[in-house]
Amino acid sequence: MTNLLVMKECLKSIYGKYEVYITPLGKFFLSLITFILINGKLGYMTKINSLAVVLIAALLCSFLPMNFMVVMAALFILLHLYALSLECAVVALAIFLIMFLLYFRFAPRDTVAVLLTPLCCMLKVPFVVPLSMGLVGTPSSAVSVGCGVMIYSIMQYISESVTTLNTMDAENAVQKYRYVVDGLLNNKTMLITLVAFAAVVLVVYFVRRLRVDHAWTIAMVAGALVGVIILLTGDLKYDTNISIIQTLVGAVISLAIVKVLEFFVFNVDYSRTEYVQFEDDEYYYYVKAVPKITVAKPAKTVKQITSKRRGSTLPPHAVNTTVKRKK
Amino acid sequence: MLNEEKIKLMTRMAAYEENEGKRSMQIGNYFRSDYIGLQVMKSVISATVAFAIVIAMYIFYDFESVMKEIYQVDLLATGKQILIAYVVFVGIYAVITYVIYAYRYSKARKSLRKYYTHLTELSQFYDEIRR
Repeated sequence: MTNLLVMKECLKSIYGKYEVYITPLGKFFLSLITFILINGKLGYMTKINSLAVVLIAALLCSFLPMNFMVVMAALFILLHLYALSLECAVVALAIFLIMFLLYFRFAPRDTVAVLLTPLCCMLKVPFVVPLSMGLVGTPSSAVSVGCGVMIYSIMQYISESVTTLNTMDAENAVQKYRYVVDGLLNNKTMLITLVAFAAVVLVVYFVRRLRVDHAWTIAMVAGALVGVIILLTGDLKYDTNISIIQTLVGAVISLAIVKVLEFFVFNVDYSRTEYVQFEDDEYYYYVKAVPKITVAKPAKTVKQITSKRRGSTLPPHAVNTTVKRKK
Repeated sequence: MLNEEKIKLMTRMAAYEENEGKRSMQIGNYFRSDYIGLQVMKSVISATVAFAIVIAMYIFYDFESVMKEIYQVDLLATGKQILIAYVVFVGIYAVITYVIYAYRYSKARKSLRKYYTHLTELSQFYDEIRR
């Protein structure tokens, strides 16, 4: 355990030092995986189904805001669907627009959940996002996760019905459109997954706020259990062909992943190194504020390095300042 | 002369201005009623667009029957029904917007209050220097 804690501190200090490089790199890999998975699942437009395009798009996403990645992923999906049939693209565009207009205007930061939910569903660890959002988000995150489920279901449904769509008469647009809309509205698997994930987010959120020991762990296990039960009950009722073993294994692996995330990500304050510039009457200040390290080695005597500061909005910082005199 | 305490305070304030303070300051520029009113107006527009998309999708879905029945149905009654549905939908959405943005406004004000305390502290530094 001590080794793990030391590792955590090491990670914290490394992140503090190299945050400038780590964040874009993380974004780059996340967008790369997202685009590769979208191409693998849909991949109807050959022009964007190449590594070069994916790499360029991922590179763009690495230094632009997170929401740009979501827009880019939506664009990839729409282009692929457009290449398959215009009707599919129109339905998907309408759903994306409604999501954006009605929900993401309020919670622009939650768009990450929409991106990660289909990603984790494709990687067969579907519970990672609802469990994580329950731990770090708010009850409204259930809507974001729900939107993610819908996007995954659209992709899944269309990729499964490609042959049917291709055999349909190209001139009969209404028929194709109806087929897609019907398929989505009567998609019981989507409905069950949506309810299960929303329930997981809510259960985890409310349990982790309880004043009991190990609330976070209890919340995770309870959430995963509720999710599995709803999925399996729904499967029994609507006969949706959800694989029991896959669901159970997926839930266990998701739990393990979220537990690791909890230790290394959610419970750690990755205070970043701040670079700020300001001036007063006499000087220009170029300040690099580095977070202080609180635990360094597994020693038995814990030395308290932090000192109290009045009314601070930042954690205690070691201030490294470059000052130039005004001319 | 460099004043270490003053630099620390200014660093904190600059970091706040660059991070979480950015949004709060934007909100703080408005009066409460102006801010919430603007957001509700934006919501009404986006809800209208979303409603129009849903109606368009429905019409396209039932295109043939809509075209067939367009001369048979009571257009006024159908229009009334759609209008009621629209008003209810936009009304509920606007109320939700009002609640959310009223909460955000008060939160931003609270966060700015802390910043203003720092500003007062900073001005005290200057007063001390002048003395």
